[in-house]
Amino acid sequence: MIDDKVLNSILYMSKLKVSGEEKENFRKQIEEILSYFKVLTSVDTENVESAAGEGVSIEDLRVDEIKDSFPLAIIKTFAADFQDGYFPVPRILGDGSGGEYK
Amino acid sequence: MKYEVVIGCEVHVQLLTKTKAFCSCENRFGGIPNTRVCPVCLGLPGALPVVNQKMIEDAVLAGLALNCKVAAVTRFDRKNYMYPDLPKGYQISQYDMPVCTGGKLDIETEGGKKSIRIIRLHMEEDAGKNLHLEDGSGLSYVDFNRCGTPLLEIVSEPDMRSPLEAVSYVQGIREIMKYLGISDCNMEEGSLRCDANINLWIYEDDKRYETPISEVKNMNSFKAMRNALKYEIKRQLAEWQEKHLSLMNTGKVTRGYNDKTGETVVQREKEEEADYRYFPEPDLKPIVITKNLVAETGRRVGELPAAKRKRFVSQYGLRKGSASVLAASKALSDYFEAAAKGYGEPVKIASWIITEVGGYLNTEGLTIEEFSLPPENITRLMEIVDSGIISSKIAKKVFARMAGSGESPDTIVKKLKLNQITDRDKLEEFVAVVMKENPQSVADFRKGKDHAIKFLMGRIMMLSKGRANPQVSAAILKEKLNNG
Amino acid sequence: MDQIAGKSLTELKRLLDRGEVSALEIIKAFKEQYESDRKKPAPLNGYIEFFNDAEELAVKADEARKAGTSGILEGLPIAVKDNILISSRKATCGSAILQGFTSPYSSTVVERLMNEGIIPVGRTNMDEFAMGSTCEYSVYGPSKNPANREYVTGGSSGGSAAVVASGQAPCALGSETGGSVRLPASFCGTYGFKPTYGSLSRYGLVAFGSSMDQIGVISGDPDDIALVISVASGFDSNDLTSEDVDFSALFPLKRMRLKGKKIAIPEELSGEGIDKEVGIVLERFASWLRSEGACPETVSMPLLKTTVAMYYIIAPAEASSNLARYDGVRYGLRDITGNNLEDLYVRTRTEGFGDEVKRRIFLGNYVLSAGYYDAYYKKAMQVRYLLKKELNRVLKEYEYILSPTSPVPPFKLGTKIDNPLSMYLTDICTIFANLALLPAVSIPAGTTSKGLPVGMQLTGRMFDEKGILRAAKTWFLKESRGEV
Repeated sequence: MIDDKVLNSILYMSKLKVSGEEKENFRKQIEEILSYFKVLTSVDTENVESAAGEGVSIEDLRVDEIKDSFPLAIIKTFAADFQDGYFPVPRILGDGSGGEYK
Repeated sequence: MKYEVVIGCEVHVQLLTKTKAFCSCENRFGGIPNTRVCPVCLGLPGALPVVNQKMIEDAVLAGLALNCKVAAVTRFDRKNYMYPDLPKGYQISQYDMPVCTGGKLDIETEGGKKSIRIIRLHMEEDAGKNLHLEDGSGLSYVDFNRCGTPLLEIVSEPDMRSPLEAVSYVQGIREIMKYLGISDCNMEEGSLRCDANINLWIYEDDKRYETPISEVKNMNSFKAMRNALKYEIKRQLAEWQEKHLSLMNTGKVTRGYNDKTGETVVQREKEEEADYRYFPEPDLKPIVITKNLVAETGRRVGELPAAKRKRFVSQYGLRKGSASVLAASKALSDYFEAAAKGYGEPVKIASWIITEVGGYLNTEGLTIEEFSLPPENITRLMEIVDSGIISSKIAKKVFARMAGSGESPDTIVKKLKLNQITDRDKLEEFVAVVMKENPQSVADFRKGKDHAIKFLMGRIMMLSKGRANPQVSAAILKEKLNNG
Repeated sequence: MDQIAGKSLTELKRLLDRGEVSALEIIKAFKEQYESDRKKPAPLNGYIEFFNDAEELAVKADEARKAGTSGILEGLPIAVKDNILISSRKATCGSAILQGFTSPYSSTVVERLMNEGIIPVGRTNMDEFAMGSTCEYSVYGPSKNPANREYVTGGSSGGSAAVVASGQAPCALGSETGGSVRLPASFCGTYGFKPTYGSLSRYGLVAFGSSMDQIGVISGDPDDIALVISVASGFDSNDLTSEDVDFSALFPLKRMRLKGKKIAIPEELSGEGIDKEVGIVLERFASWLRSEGACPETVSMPLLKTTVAMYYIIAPAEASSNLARYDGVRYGLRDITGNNLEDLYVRTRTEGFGDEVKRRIFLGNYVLSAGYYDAYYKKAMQVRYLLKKELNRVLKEYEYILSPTSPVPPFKLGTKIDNPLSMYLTDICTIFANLALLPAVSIPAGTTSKGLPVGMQLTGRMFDEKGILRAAKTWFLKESRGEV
């Protein structure tokens, strides 16, 4: 049901690795869960909306007024790494508009 | 070989709201890195987005100006992908319920006016910025100041048939956004960014072949855009002749333009295309846009730059150049029209506003919206010049004082005594005329009747309409009488 | 002075208000209870951290009481689940990936309670990111059931239920996405309440399934729950999904006249699939309701059979996106042993997340990905819409829905940990309230032959927190009088 191609592509999206011996167990568990989801197919959803709930009017949204941001000292209290005011990451190229993971 | 160029554009425009799209951090370009961030725009655990009212209003305004239909209910969705400048691992964007759909923008082409259809306009948040220093550390550095800046994405149909048309289209978008005051559309700073989808329709053996679409990115100026698209046309033609690849079997490629080499290079092939797993943003409710708001906003749009430009030429006889400058901003064009009202020579007013007002704002670093001088004062100043009371050179002085103090031109002319004639030659002329016209009084004075000088002074004042400087005139008169 | 530990928040408040006990004595008593349990051979492991400075804060609270500047909860202790943020405190969601994270801000709920003087005394154990039904999926190891330490507490708020049931805290905050407060409350023999979605702000509650997440309260006395809700509820400008409700008059709860009240017992949650001993407790609870004059009736709601499937599509979908922010870039675990960005992501996340979280992230990305979206995510959202309609229809005719909180009594540690699907099925009775946003309370209604607690659940109409809590109070009063 879940072939290697699908498994690997979803793991890639998830940014997770499942190593060799765990892989089969992982696949089995996922397949079991997915097949349980079939219970939904018995429900007729023809022309049913997937309503996102009630809407909110513009007046109830946030007024465009500036509030204080974090002082740099606060960022240092929770940052995993903070160098000269920046969050460092392994060198990357491009603007990151998706998918450039070479 | 017969072929046609097909171009569609995705334009991103950063809005000039005071705060970010989903938090109250200040929305401003540049600054010390990571000083305009909070739990929301840093993607801390537990933080939630809160929609900026002004972003929705601006989106509706922009949509109406582009002749779009505004949705009664609009919704945000999550676009999922991970990258260091995207702190939540998803971008809040819009997918199947964008705020506006189905608009158009008219552009001028060699063949006359042409309508470019707009598929949709939607709102989303900008990402942070990745800084690449050549510091040998093997690291990139992330600054989240820009993260959460509200963006409008405007997607056109592939209606453009040349790089020139594409540039005109983006210029048209820029003109309107600037005119509405919702973005400064600075391509260098990235507040306007354009990606173009381009391919060729090649006609061979009575058949039409479509070359693979390139999505061209990194075009940071109109010149770059023109060059990048011209390069793509050449490249695609060559590729077609060499490989006969078509859209059917190759799909879409993302290419980046390099301004230094003038070439585009592959960034991403089709099979690497990301699956963004869009789904409705559960942290935000759908937003209801009332008919009332749409109607009200529609009234705010009013006449757009292109139409205004034409009208300024036909109604006021302005030159195209002046008309363009004035029509580029709503506030400026309103100012001009108010000043030109009831004044016979709008061309003069226009040039005064462009040079003098424009210069003043430039030096003071003000915008026309911040300029408090009533336009009627400009009109009045022109009238004073026309009536010969002051020269246009003096008028510039009056304007400088008026712009700073807000006094009326009449008050300033009076206070600075700018209306008095002190010019010796001019006054000598008056004296000569009066002496010639009143020989009797001249004779009386010379006989020793001192009071005759009073009568002659009175005549000088009448002749100069009261503007002759009395002291200087009297001195000249005495001199001439005594020298007679 | 009777023993302090074991008393409810309401009782302690009464003693404090009368000056019969100090905040310091109270905090000390609970701390003592916690520390003595830690020395036992199999500690309950309810707290991840008991705050060192809790006694200092108690001294300040006593001073505030003397000075007359105290809030209505001044000096009262509360335990807080490890996914509800408190400024300057650690928060890890029971996960390795958040090791080292100290929150720079407080959740709205905690802030509102602290503004009234409450003292958070410690962080409680939980299933990692609230994903689990047993509190076994924690990086700190499982919590144990105070009724029998070989048994699970239920989850995910297992730590919160364990500390309340064992007298280590009078009251605790938990969180729900699919029953994570009610289930452990039921397994540990306490009351557990989940408000209507939107009654409490989610700001500062670490997100799991945003469209269902809600902070809940666990205590031995429904009045404690009413007290906490009355202070913490209402619209929060930091959470656009919070509602403008006013529960300020919720506390103290009055007894309810149950006479004539129609109560629906879903056929799908009362017959087949329900453990025999749980069924017996349900029958006893129903007869009590009848003895009070209420009218419980069995009603068929077929969609309740599909809630587990729906939930385990929607919640993981949202979770896969909500957990994308744990990338090693800004906070928490950061594995930089690799040499590129992909390594940073994959190593940090593979190391930092436990198996169940990985399964759910995978499931979520699967059901949202191109090609599967319609069959899973979209389908589930459509059925969810139908479920809401069905439940609201039933709740028009009936005042409450009664069912067991769990289809099974507490089970032994380790029995379901390797069988995710059977674990998921434990949630069958609780999930519908989350999917349909309804308020629900788990009531300690009896025990099995082995002396293990069994909870019954009352679900109410949207925002009828008052109704179900008063009904719970009525049971509480009967139980404390020892009536049959």
